[in-house]
Amino acid sequence: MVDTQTITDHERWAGVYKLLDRTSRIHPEFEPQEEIKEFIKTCKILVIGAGGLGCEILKNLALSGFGDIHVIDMDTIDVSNLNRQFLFRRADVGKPKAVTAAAFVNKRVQGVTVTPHYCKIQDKDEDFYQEFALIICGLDSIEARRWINATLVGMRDEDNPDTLKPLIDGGTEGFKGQARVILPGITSCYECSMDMLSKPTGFPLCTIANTPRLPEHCIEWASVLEWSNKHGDRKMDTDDPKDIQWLYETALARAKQYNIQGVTYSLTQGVVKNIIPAIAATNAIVAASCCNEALKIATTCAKNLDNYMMYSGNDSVYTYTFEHQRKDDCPVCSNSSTKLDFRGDKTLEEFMDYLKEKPDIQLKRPGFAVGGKPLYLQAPKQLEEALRPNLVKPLKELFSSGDEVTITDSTLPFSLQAVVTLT
Amino acid sequence: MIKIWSMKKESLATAGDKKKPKVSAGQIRVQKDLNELDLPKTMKMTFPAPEDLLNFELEISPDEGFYAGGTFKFSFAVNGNYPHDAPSVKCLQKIYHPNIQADGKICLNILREDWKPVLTLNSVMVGLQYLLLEPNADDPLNKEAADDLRNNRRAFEQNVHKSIRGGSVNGVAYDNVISK
Amino acid sequence: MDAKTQKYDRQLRLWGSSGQEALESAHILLINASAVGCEILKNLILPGIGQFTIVDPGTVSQNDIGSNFFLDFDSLGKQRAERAYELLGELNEDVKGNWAAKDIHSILKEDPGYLAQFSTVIATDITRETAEKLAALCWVGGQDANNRNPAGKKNITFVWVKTVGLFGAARIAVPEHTIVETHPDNVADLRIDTPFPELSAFAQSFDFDTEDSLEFGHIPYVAILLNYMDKWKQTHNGKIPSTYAEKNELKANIRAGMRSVDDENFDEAISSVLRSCQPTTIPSEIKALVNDPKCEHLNAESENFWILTRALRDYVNDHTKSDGLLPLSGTIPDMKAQTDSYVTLQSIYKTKAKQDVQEVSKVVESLLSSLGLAAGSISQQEIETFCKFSAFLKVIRYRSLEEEYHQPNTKQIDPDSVFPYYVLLRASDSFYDDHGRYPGEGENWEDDVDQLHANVGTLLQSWGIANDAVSKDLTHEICRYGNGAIHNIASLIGGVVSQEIIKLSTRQYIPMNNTFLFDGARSVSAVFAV
Repeated sequence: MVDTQTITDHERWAGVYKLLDRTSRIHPEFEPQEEIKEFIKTCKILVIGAGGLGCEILKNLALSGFGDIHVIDMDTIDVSNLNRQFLFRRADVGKPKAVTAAAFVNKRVQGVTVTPHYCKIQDKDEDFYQEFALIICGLDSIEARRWINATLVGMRDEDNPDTLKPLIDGGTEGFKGQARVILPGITSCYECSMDMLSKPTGFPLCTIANTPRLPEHCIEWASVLEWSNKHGDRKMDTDDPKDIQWLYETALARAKQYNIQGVTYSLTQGVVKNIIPAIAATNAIVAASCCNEALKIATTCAKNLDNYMMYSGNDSVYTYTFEHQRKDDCPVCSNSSTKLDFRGDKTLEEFMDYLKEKPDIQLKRPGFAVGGKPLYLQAPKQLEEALRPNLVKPLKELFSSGDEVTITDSTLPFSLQAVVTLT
Repeated sequence: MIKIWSMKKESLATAGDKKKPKVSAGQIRVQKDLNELDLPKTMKMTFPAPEDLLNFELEISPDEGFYAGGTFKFSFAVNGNYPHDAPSVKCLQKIYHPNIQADGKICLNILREDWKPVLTLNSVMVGLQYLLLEPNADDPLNKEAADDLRNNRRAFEQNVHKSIRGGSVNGVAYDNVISK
Repeated sequence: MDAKTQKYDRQLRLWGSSGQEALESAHILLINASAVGCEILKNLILPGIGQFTIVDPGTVSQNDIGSNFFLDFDSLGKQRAERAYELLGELNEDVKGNWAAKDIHSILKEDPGYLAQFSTVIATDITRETAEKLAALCWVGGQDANNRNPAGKKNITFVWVKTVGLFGAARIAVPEHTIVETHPDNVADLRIDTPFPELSAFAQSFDFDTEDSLEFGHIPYVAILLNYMDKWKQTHNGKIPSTYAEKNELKANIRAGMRSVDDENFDEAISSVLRSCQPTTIPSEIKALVNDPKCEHLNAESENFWILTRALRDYVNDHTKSDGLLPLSGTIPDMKAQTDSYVTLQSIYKTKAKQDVQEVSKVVESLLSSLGLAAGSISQQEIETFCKFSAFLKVIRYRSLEEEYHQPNTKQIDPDSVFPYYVLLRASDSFYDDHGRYPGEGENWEDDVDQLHANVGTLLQSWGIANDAVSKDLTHEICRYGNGAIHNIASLIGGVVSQEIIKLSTRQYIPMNNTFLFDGARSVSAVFAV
């Protein structure tokens, strides 16, 4: 047994400490100080996703000297993860990814504490996210990314620097990927770049129904049209091999009928589960780039990426680093937000008139909602009528002081988030 | 960057500021789409639960074309990933239409392959209305109806007339959707 | 689906079972179990290479466990080769591992042909002198030049990898790498300009005057294009549109034939006009390939690739068989069409492609017999794949390390690029030659800046390049890094190198040529052929 007392941080972290102890002429703003080393040991970092990227990110953070790492993931381990998610073994199949990954890193890297959260990111509230110095995402879901991005943008309060949570986002597909740094409210955000996403392919229903030409058309016929005919309301479970087998056989029979080649079990699975090819190598590249940025942001030892690096390895090795621009009408980060004081005994109509008149706002036909629930909308007629009684109610009956009111209007780029204090 | 946050530990979070559930960009977009709707006389919406903007119904009563005289109901379900994902729309009645299947599935390009986030709920509603005015015989979902339309417009018109009153066509019974 | 297919599902969708088979026959040697070395192996063991071997004479230090995930606290003081072998071996039960706690020089002294058993040799933490020696051995298939085995024609890929602080680099050297499956985005080859008889007959089978709107709206766009192209040729001396104006005119002709805005098939035809008016020819890269001396001078030792390329040449030159064109790929894109006509069109292209493959096969067989090789020693499958991708074949001939050092080809340097780091790496090697350590390793690290910068100057001078091509601030930065291992950089370079080794081992996709440089301070990278 090794006496761990003989381990010195200075020797163990020699590579990183050289960066932190020494000045740089290409980055003269950096001032070495002992607090920085202490900071990376104690600050809390959140990793979202414990899959292909997540496993790499956890390893990289632990070996960068970060001491307090949290990981959140709602998934369990599948056998098809084993070709890249190196913290898992065959015996772990079925166990929660977050828990298994955390235990592995805790055991392998002494002195680090990885805390798992086996749940959805949406199960945690802003108080949870507020605890972290920065957040790294290794997700394959667009929806989850949009959610965390909007949450972090929404949390930022310009008057309180602690609410700025840098978000580092990585993604891969086959030999390609990207890493980016999002400083909510400062740089472009995830939502600003939604139009860079390749469109999910869906085939026209009429093609699927009547003029199939590709094996994919036959598979979609089986899953989109034929499934409900044969199984009624039972939902398809794409993780159940029996359901995939049924879809495969059904698609194959149709393909035969139409003389179409190429329906296989693997293609069936790929189409219905929308499988994206994934390998360890690309995940390693993108995750390492994300963690390199995390270390630079946390220590200021070099300038962080501003703000996007694309990677492609199909033909040679190619990266393209550029500043992705904010979108003026981004539904998330271009939202103007404002704080308003208004009397709680005044009605919604009076509030609306006030906003129409207020020189810096000047709305025309605003709609109001709180927490996704509408208070008043100008259209459609039936909804307007149903909500009209709210117009004459005092605000204090409609929401509580300090609530955020979402206001939309054709004059706004997207929406106005107004935190209204009722007086 | 380090200076921006918690090295100065004194300013402990935004204490006491109770956090509310966040509204998603998709939800705001639905609010915006709805608030800016300008429905023609032929359309009417109903909200089974007015506090839920993501699930509602649309009635279209065409005043011209094959389907004039009927009132057609569609359900809209908008998911949290809107407008990246298209709204999911179904016809709630069993009708005789070349591009609508008996179970309510609709073949409309902007509901699947041609959906783009710049499109709005209004675009979909206009698309549905167009489908009722100009059924497309060349991209059929109900192949028999499409064949009827292509081969004999007169017969097709009579079939529609019959079917929307609850009659049968080609041995299949359809729902009575005559406007009340 | 068997257990292995399940485990490898996400990668089989990239390189298929043939790529997997090739990967499983790879035997990879890692010289020195450094952080970057172990990261490379991790990414190769996970997808299932055949075997790996780790050679490392060292023992595990504190800095090792601070930067290498495959050496843990329990490993301190133990043999690095053995511990890395154990912790990496856990990753995949289907991969065989070996280790030797020895110095590569002493191994080679005992067994000069040692390297010949490996498909790839990865070297990390070695000096330039060692790198040159290993690279030279790999270049000739791992055989000592004096007792070279004539059958040892196999190439060994040599990869030299370095990480220094926030900077990392990888160099690949192999005399020649040939690729058939380069995975181009689009292999469709529609021959609209020069339709073969069956294709013309297909196009003529459609009734453009039909009353039936369904039929009209489903004429495949290939038939529409052929039809309008045919009309064009009749009024233009048999020529296809060549100028921009002519192409637009053809588009307008097609547009005029539309009956409704819903005729998507016509839209598809119009949007394919520009591509279809490109005359079908043999790409210049492929022309160069079929004229390569390796095609000319075939022998029994020739790689299948060169025999096939020669067969391709002979086929193309026989105009009665090929019309002077490459074999047809046989693949068509999806298009608006009725099932029947699409399937018919598909089979017209497939049948023609098959005929072309048969013709090429005949040439292959006669070449094999003239070389004294067994009939069928190149499989039908291999010939088919070769023909399908014949427009996209690729050969990369790397420069050797010897050429890099003795015939430098650096003419100028963009100071804002990543290339100055390459100069600094080279200068650091000279620094090592003089001092027995790398710049910035000691406490008084800034004292090394002047010396290193002098080395930079000498190097630049020998290339005839002005001294200011590398800023002294950058030299200072390299001294700041002090040859330190940063895990993130090791992991990133490890990812890139493993990906390149996968591409080289599977002979699919296109590997980089020949040096990858990554600057983690600016998050930029570039590839240079040095």
